[in-house]
Amino acid sequence: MELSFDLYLEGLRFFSDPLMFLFAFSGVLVGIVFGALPGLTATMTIAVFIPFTFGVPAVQSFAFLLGLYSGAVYGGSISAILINIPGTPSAIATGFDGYPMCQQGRAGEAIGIATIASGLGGLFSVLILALAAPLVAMIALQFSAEEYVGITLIGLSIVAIISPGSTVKGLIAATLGLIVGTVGLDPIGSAPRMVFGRPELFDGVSEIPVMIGMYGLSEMLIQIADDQHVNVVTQKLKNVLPSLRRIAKLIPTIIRSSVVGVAIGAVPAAGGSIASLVAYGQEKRFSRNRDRLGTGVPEGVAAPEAANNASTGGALIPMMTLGIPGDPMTAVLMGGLIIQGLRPGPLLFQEQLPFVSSIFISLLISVVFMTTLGLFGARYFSRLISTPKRFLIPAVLLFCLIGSFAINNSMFDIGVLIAAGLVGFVLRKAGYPVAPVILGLILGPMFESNLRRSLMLSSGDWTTFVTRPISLGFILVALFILAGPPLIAAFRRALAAAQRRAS
Amino acid sequence: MTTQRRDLIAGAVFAALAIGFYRYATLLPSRPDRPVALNPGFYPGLLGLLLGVLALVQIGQALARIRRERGSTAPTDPAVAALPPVWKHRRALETFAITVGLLVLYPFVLRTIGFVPTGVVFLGLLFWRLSPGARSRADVALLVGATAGLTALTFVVFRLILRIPFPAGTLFR
Repeated sequence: MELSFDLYLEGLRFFSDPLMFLFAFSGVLVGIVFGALPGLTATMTIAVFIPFTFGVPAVQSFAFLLGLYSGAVYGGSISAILINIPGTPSAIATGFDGYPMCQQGRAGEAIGIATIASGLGGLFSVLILALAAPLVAMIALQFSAEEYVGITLIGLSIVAIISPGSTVKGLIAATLGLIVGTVGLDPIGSAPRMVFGRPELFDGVSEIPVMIGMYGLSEMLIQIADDQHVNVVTQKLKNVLPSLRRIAKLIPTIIRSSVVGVAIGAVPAAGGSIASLVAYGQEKRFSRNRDRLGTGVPEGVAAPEAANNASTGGALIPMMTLGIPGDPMTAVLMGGLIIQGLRPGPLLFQEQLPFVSSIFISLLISVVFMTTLGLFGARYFSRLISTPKRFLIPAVLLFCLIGSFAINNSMFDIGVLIAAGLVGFVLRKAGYPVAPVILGLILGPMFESNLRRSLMLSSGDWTTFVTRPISLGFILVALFILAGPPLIAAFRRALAAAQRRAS
Repeated sequence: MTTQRRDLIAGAVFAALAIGFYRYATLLPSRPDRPVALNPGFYPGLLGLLLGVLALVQIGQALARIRRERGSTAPTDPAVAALPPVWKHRRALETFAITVGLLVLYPFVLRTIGFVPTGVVFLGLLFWRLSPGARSRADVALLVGATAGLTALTFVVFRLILRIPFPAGTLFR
């Protein structure tokens, strides 16, 4: 594979069709609306809306889905600022300063800053994605099965440790996903496994109904069980458009946070929520207003918003180049790619160059639409927050049912959806995260194929994974991710105890 | 129920699941004359073992926490130790049961009466159930309007634009 500027021009021809812009615009609009509604996460929004892209060409479908992705991540900030409830988990840190600003009657200003920071963070991430993804793909072409086993282990380890709850629970959830991924014909010998005589299961469990069930259905069931109600008092938004002087003052914060966002987003399985929290923490060290953070300062809004939107492009890097999703949202996006018959990975850059190029351009256009819609439509989006749950829950449930049927026009998939929704409900109520289940399900078949192929080629010799330097490096990283935090904590405890004894 | 007890029960359930899955993996056809990795039960067996080990670790952690708590003289804060109830109140449990029932019935009703009537029934019942205070004529009109509007929207998007072939309903054939 050779790198050339043509890579960025190949996809331009798709954009002579105005429909591309329409799809991107609709995606951003729907994404902001759903992202702004508390309880409807960005991941759930993408999962529920994937069925809307059936029968649509892959480039248009991805223009819509990337619009959803950008819009939903940004939309979460609106409810975080107005009612201190993040619309999406990645907007948690936005409320730290956004809500105090709202209480001071500066909600419009906070939303304006969040929008500009999101837009600039998003632009930065598109730039890094466009530059880094082809390079990573070129390197990844040299990887063999052993290296892919190592990368998959890193992805699963990270998602297990960053998920809420204990690491063991995260690992159990990931193993459950891997187990569900074994359903269907054995990838090496085509022997049926756990198909129970159902021909629908020969190709494995359909991933999209499982995602919609785990994220969409289970979330709605939890809201019903918890009988969640939010009392919303919205205020009239003023001064949404920030002055150039205000923006200029925030540029150092936005640059710092965008770098953090892209870097964390690019780590397999890390994502926007971690990126925004780390960026906020970074402002506590470097910002001129660090002592006033938490009381309603613009830097406290700009940092998490720049970071979580910068993480979107970062998270697409491992998904597109290695086939390893950067976060739960890209895991669902990957499902959208797979149902279009495209397999993410380095070969995508060789075989589907115009499509890859269109992804860069679509994301760029989405960021522009997101910023424009955010600045000029903020007052309308803020009114949506008061939409009653009694209307939202049935609507989302119906979308889940129809969307699952629409994948293969199969009633069986509705059964998969309901089963996944109930399992997701039980797991979440029992304190288990569902993101590792989804990642395990998606990565499972790839992991199995690579693991078994490596062992076959090495005649069953497990040392093949540690005799190749890159593979060994990946496995050591995975081990450090899992064992590092408890080991460091134990070391610190021992050190503190030794210091106490010495004094 | 406390978090420790919940984790203990969940660990036991996963341990049982691991045993069952490992047993299933060993029953899959295998040939001794070829590398183990070629057998279809090889990878599921590994996963069964992994799940078993993780379940045992979780059981061990939960037991250790229970033992620590029993040995500790400090009073445990009941608000921290106790889990929130699965259902906020009885009505939430009933609504949950009705919702799951409607979800399970959806494919059967869809096959029988078709896409639009099923949507109307599903949405209408859920809107009504989730709006306990809706008794006035205006409230009922709002619920009917929302049901009709959303059903129409799904029909336009999925049936007319995306051309998804939903069953027409055996009842109307």
